[in-house]
Amino acid sequence: MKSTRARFVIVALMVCTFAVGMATFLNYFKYKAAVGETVRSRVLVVTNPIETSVQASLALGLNFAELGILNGLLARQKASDTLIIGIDVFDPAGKVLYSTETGRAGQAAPKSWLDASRLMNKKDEWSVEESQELVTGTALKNNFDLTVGFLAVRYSRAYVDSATGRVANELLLTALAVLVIVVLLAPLALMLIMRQFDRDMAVVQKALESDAPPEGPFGEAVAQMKLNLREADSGLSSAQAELARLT
Amino acid sequence: MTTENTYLKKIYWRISSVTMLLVILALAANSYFSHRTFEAELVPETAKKAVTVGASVSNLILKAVSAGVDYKALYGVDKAFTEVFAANPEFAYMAATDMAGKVLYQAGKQPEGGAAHFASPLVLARLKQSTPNQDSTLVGGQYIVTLPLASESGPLGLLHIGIDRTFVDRIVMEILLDILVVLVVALFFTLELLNFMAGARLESGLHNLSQTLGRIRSGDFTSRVAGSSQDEIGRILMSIDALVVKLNSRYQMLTRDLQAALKSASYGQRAELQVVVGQWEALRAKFRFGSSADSPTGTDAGLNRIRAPLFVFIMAEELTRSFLPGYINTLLVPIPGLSPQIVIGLPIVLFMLIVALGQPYLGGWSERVGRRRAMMIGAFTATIGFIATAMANTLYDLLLWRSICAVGYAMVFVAAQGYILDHSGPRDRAKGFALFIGAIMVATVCGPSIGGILADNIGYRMSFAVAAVLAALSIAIIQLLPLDRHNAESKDSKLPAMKEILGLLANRRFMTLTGLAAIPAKVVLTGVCFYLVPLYIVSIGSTQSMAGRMLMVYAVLMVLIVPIAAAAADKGSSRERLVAAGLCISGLGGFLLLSSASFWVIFGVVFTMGVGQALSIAAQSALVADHCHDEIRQFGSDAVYGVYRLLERLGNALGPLLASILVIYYGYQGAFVAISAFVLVCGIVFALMIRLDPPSKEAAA
Repeated sequence: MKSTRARFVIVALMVCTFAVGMATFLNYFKYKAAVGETVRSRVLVVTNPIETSVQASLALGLNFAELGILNGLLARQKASDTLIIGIDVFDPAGKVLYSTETGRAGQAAPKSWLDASRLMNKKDEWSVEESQELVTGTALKNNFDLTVGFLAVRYSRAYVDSATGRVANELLLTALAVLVIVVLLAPLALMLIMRQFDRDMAVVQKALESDAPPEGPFGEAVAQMKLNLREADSGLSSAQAELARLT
Repeated sequence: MTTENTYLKKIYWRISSVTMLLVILALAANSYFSHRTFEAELVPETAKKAVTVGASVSNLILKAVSAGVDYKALYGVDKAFTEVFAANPEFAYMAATDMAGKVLYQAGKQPEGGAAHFASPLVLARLKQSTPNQDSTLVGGQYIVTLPLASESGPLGLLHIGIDRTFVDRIVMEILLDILVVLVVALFFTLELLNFMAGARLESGLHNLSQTLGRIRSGDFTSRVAGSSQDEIGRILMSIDALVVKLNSRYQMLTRDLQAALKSASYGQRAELQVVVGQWEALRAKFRFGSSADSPTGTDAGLNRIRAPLFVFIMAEELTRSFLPGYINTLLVPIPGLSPQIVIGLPIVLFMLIVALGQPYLGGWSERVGRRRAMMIGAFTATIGFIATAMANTLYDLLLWRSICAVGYAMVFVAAQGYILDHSGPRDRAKGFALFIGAIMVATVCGPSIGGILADNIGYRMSFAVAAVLAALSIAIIQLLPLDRHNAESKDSKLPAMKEILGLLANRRFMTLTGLAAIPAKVVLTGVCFYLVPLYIVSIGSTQSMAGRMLMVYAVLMVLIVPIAAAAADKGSSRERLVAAGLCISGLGGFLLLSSASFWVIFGVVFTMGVGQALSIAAQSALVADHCHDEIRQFGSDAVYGVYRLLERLGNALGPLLASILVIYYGYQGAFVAISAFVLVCGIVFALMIRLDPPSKEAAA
């Protein structure tokens, strides 16, 4: 980094890397959120008939824990989208009442589901990210708008991760390509800008090394300096010559 | 302004402009290609969703048809379509067509060329498909997904769902504000990096060049140990040095030859040699030859070196400003007798209190152990604090970890101040402190906004981890600072004595300045900016990023207006008027919340407060000297300023506490208005008191 220009180029590259890096970071997380939301809202569509069915059954006076038709409906809805791994219905105490998986009914729903269901959004929807699968759900309400239980749809995390990973790679490649162009452009752009500085410095250097007239912002100071140097030089030469003549 | 300063500024502006242009071009290119990626990936994903939604809608239609209702005479289909739009804003159009492609039911805006597309043979061929096709076709700005509607008796028609092409634009536009933040931060980074990477050296080089030219112009040819950098200026300095060295050696040779000649000369020859002696003496009288013990002064080089580590360290703490209250909220545990609002404010209050009370003691300590070492210990302590904060389990341990951060912060802050005092003389002390405040201000611009973005995307804990990385990075940069002297004899500059504190607290003039101007200003800063804004923004459904942007607006106003206000005060504008006007403007801002609680109103509040604070802050401490001349004579300057700073910092601790109590009783909006009213009243009373008690003529002189 001997040249000032090189240091300025490095500054420009560092700032561009920061800006492009941050933009890529933002784009990545925006895409992750967008694709996550698209897939989540897609799998939630299958819950509509289940909610309607539960509500209708409860309106007929059936007990929420004894809705015989629900297991069949859950299985049909699960089959409607290949992304769905399973659908569970659990009561507010966290006991799974119905499930598309045999043996799951009667067991306790994970604590994370219960915690998330307590922090539902305005649409009464909740979601949880687990290591192997993603879970989203809604509140099941009776006709009096009281929550009687919760619906949980488990769907493929690998699918969302693979979509996000694919885009991450593309965004990274885009960022790298942009940075390569910046690496090529920055020295050129700064060279144009620094030309004046280089010229000013070259003028001073040349004025010092030759009889070229000093110009630029330091011209006057250099001219006066040279005048003094010349005066001292000629004074020394004259004294030296006089001394040589006398000795 | 000197030639080198003007020249340097010109270079700085040109480099900054080109760098920003490169950043804008890079961001534009990046956004364009990212948009294309988004469109390529999100459209098929949304088309799949459209198929699922379409299947649900077609089930409803088929249910009605299977109940015996004629497909062409269904009721409420349009309404069902409209309901789909409400839940899926990316869908712009839905239509059900008959076997010939004629639209029977529709909702939303039909794309241009839609009717022709629905009736085209290629689309009608889908009537024969038993399973829905997830492909989409771009028609008039909408991606159309088509599904067959088939009852048990055979095909009925087709269902078309139009995905608005601009939905990807909307998603990309949502990050536009963040990109703008990145742009502003990039500008400040550019200026900081220019200073760190090249500016300090360039400034020092230009200063040396200017000094050398001036020295030789005045006839001083003494050779000095020049800064031997290999850059353009370094080479010029070496060339000048070579000329000077050559001249000096010729002078030395002349002196030696003349002495030898005089020594060996006869009486008559000596008389002749007097001519040469005369020439030699004339040269000596006019010029200075030989070597000088003084090396060219590095001037600001030493001072400038503190800026980068200080900026990085303060940035680590500032990063957390926009999301700290939100993080505390997630770790909240019930504390008997304290409302959650007060509990959320506790870590901020504790932090401010530790910094306020710790500073007087840490000043002497940093002198004893050495400024560089003190800064390293402080940065290390804060790094540990940030790591532990990132892993906090409950509010109780968070309080401990934030206290550790506060101790580290106070250590670095005080040691950096001490470094500036050590590396500056009376002439450049003001410049040194301007550099110190500049680093802090730039960190306050960059930190909260980037912190908010990080918190929204990677979460609170990871954002604290980033703060820890920055604090650790600052240790590495602190190591580049020169080793300094330890002063084992140094004593703690203890808190002012109780007698002095009580004496000054009872003093009307002193308390007018401190109680009505300095403390309210700090209450607004920490109470509104650090506590209310982050919590309120999130409470109205916005994000941590938005809170960060608000704090950035405040900081940018500070950066822009403070130098102007300071210059105006120096040029003769009344400091009293600036402070009073600043307080009143700050106070008026909060009343905007009486009109609405929207995001734009909050922006207006922060903007007005920023303008008001920026106007008053620069003139405040200068007013102490203007108005408290008698008190300074009575208690001493150190005691008066010591008590002033202590009370000002206690105002920092008071802010979140006051705000949290007000939130309990009046809610967020009420708290904003109450603090604003408090500051407005302080501003008015301050103006009246100052009018009644103008500065003494002695002080004014």
